[in-house]
Amino acid sequence: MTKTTLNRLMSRAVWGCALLLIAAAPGARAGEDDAVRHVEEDPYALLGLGEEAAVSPGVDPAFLVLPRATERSTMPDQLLTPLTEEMIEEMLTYLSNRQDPDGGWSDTQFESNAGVTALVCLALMAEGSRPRIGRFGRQIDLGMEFLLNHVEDSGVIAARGRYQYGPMYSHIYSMLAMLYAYGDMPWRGETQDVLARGIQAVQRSQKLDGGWRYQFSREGASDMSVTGNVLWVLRTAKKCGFTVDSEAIAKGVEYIQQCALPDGTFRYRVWGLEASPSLGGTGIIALVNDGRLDHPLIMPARDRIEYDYRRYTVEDLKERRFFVYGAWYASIAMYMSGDDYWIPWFEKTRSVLRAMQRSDGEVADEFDNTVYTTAMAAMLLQTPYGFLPLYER
Amino acid sequence: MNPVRMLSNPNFQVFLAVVAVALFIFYRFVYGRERQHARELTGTQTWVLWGFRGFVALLALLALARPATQRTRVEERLPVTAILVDSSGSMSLPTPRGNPLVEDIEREMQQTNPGFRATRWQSAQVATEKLVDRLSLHQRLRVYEFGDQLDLMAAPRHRESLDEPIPTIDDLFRRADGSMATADAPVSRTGQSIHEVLEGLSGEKIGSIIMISDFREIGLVSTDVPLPRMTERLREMNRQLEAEGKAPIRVHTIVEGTEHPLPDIRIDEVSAPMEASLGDVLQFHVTVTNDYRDGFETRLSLEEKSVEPDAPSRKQEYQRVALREVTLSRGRNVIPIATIPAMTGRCRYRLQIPSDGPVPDEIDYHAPFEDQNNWREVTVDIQRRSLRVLLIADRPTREYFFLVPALLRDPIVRLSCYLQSADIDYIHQGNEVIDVLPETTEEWSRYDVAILYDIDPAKISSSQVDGLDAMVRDGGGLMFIAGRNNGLADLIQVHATRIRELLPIEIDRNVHPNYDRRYERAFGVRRTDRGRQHSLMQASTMHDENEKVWERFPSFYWNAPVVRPKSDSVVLLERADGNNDPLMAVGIVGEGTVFFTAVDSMWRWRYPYETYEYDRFWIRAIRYLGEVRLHGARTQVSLEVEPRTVNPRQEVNVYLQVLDSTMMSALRGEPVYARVYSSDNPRDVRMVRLSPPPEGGTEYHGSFRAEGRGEITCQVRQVPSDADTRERALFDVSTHFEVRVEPLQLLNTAANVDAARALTEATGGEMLTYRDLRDEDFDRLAEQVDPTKRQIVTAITFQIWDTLPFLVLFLVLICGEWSLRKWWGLL
Repeated sequence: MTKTTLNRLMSRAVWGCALLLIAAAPGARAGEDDAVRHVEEDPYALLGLGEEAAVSPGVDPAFLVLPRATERSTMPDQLLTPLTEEMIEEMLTYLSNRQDPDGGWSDTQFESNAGVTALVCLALMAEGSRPRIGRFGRQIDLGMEFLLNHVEDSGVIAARGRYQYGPMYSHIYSMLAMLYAYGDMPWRGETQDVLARGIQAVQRSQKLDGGWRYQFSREGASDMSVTGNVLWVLRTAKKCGFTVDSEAIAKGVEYIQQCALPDGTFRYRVWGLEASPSLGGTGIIALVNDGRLDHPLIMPARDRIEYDYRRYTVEDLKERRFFVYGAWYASIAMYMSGDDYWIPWFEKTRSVLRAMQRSDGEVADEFDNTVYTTAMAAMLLQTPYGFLPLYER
Repeated sequence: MNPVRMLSNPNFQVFLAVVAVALFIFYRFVYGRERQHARELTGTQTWVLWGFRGFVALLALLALARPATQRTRVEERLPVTAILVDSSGSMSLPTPRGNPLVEDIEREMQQTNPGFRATRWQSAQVATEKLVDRLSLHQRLRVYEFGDQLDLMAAPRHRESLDEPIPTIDDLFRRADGSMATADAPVSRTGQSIHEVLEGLSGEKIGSIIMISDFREIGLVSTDVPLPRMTERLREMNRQLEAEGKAPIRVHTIVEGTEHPLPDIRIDEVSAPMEASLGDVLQFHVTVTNDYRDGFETRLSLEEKSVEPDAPSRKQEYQRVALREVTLSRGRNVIPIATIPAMTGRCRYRLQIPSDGPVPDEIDYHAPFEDQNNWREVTVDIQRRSLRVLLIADRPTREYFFLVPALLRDPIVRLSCYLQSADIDYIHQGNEVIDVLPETTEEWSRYDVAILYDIDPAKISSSQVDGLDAMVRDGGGLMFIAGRNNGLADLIQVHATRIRELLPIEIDRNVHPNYDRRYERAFGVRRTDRGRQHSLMQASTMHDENEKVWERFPSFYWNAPVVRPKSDSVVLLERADGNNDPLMAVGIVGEGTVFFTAVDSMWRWRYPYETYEYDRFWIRAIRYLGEVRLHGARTQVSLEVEPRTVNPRQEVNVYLQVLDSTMMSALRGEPVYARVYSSDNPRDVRMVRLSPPPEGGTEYHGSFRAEGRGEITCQVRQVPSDADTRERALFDVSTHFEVRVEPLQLLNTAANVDAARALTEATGGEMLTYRDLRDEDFDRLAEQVDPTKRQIVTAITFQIWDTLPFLVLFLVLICGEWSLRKWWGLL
């Protein structure tokens, strides 16, 4: 990946992540703690309040659940139209065919890249496959082998085609894919150790300002995009039985809140530029994973994404730079926000992806990268199946 | 009595005969005494006296001969036409739009009341007025109302010319007591009213019978002649009349209403559990009948209030807790709506379809006509309950990711997770966080259900397994979820005795997970026959809906190998690809229950309903396993009553379905009774015996007639015959139904056009519906009424002897003879 490309890519992510930092009011956290304590005293109290009420059982706010659905959802049938299924099939076939002999995946700018491989594995897992089980069980298995074969002594997972500014994105996407897979691949018992070392590597590289950036180093300033993604992975690791330093997470969340401006916009870095609303999903994910479903930042960020996709035409969105990358983050956030937001957003995004899709089923970004983009698009489109734990409600 | 006519009385003639004999004897005696004096009379005097006597005797003989003369009288009478107007309650329902008879009335009234709708009764009144106008020139009219009985309202005077005024509606529809007739009769005896009219007018020439009604017969008694039978009688009667060369009796009909029910939306029935848990999803199935139009969009609201006397006043008032936009197809719709109860105690729920809801402009009516049937109420007892569940898993698999939130979402479940592979200082998930697994039997007994999800057998001790075993045998539940990480063979090898006893299936201890194998072909699954009946596999209480849900049950790629199910266990699910491996099974261990699943991909059922069916499956499983702890008894029985809303004295059927076939053996030979009591008066109990099912069946059945009013509870609590105490029942299930007086008139608001048509055709009459009630239609009907006058010839017999002169002459002759004899000194 060229420097310019990466800068643009990261800029997009940063714009989105910065959106999360809106209105991090000092009193908000105290109020939430009260709510959590209240639920602990009477777990029924919030459940009676309807769908908006969430319960965070246990002592860790990361494990947040919404009340049970009171009726069968019709959303999957509504969204998984024959067209959607055809698009998904073409994308999965394309991804499957593009696997390298060593089990990894390469892209135009990212040859034999761990991050790309992890994203493709996630896309294939979204179909319902698991390592060695399911239609793409073999591909996922080989992909996981590829990732395990590229674990450095430091615990960092990064393959040959690493990003020139640093391997953090490769590492966190690889961690994410392996966290979701390792319970289903008992033949690689060392995976747990790899993940534990990977978590330690991330924690060791937390910068003094509380965030993270491309390099595994405590020096320098953080950015919100990487920080949001790292927090996302750390929360997932907690759910998988790994001990994560709660202080590290608290500092990371605090860093994201520091990026918020008084007018409600976000900055890529504490001193940086405002972020694009289309990538605001990362912030929503980070805050929700932190057990803050009712955080005051979430609503405006969600509405900004909704407005953005509603306002612009399919042609406008199609021409937008790194559209698929932003849409993938946005999809997780919009799915969390409920069907009123999710369904129209999905339908619009599907139209854009359809317009972008090429004859072999792939979608591309401005630099003709087709694998990571297709993986993200496939993940997004398969969300209504509900098979990937990445998408939670 | 006319004294003259007494003579023709047969009894009096006997009396006269007796008198005549007495007179004869008396005269013989008198004449014997007078014989000596009679010699002093002259011959003329003697002949005069005998002349008198002879005339008297002649008159007496004449009277006995009864002479009479005859003459005939001929007169012409107008035929009688009976107009029968239905005054039953259904005639007060709105008349169809487009009825020309009431257009003026509606137009006028709607100026002040836009929602005004003329009734069938008003239409019938105008129709009667028009008929009287046309028929009173050549008919003698009788206007009757009929409902529960036939009453004459008016006999309008025959009009000689058009100049004469016609009676008003007030004149025609005034009852004998002076009040105006209204459509309020609770029953409608259509056929019987025709029968009574024919009887009442049997001496008259009947021109026609005109019946104005919706032809819905309601509330007939056994002696009544129903309309179909009356139709046949008339057909036969007319055939005979025509054979005799006489005019038949035509019955003309004017049908009020339409063949379609009125555009009404009503809630017929609400199905809800008797009890629910605080914070749990409480689901109602609402049966809504849409007689409005297909695709009608409206809202179904659910309101909640407490009926506990000590509840705060604000909770004793209805608060809306759920609102659902629904699109109703024409006919019967079953709509689920749910809420999460937030208060304990007896709560009343009102389900309502707003009668003033948003109605598109294009439909015929402003709103469904009847809003009293737009709501229903049910009472549910909300209780605070909880099940302590311990989930032990080795690694966080895909299933684990989805299973944990599913259990945490259930407010009844107090979950403790223990991830065996977790870091040593890891804070485990759950409502109640634990650091280590329970060790002693006492610690295990605190849990109601344990889930062993592909656990690492090396990380659970024998004493812990003993504690688990004790917990299950004491009524707890245990769930085995197989997985690829460790497999069950290892578990059996390490804890052979206990685990083998607990499992409802046989596992080969030598078959370990094959990590090298790839599973790339999906296989389908099917429910076994016993599985279909099992409560765990009931995604819905409604059979059709349940089947529909299971049709979309996913296929799988991997399952744990199973040798065979144990003989006393119940297999619920098996492979459908010929392999027939049992995939899910349940068994009883001690007082507890064990559930086994050989698949660890139930998360594939997150499509197509998202979390709904997936979560509910696990929750059903947990509650099934913990039901002994939760309810104090098993609940693998389903109690249903049919219908759920009844009229007093209507028959109610009770069905007790035993879902767990292992329970049937415990019930064999045992009498099963249903207790039926009013929710307001639980002490007044009726016992209804339920008949056992035939061999191989699982459904008990009983029936009884509903009594009382309001919400009635039906409960079946079965205690084992060998139980030491009645505290612990085999099962204890309840359901409820509602007894309420449903106005029969509103059960079906459609007119019985077919009955009217049959009656009309059988008699050769004319039928008018609301579409053809214009003036020309009435003219045509009037022309059909036979105007021919009837000639009545009366034969009058004049009894000559039975007259006053005859009597006077008789008395004069006797008195004259006596007077002469006195005068001539014979006495």
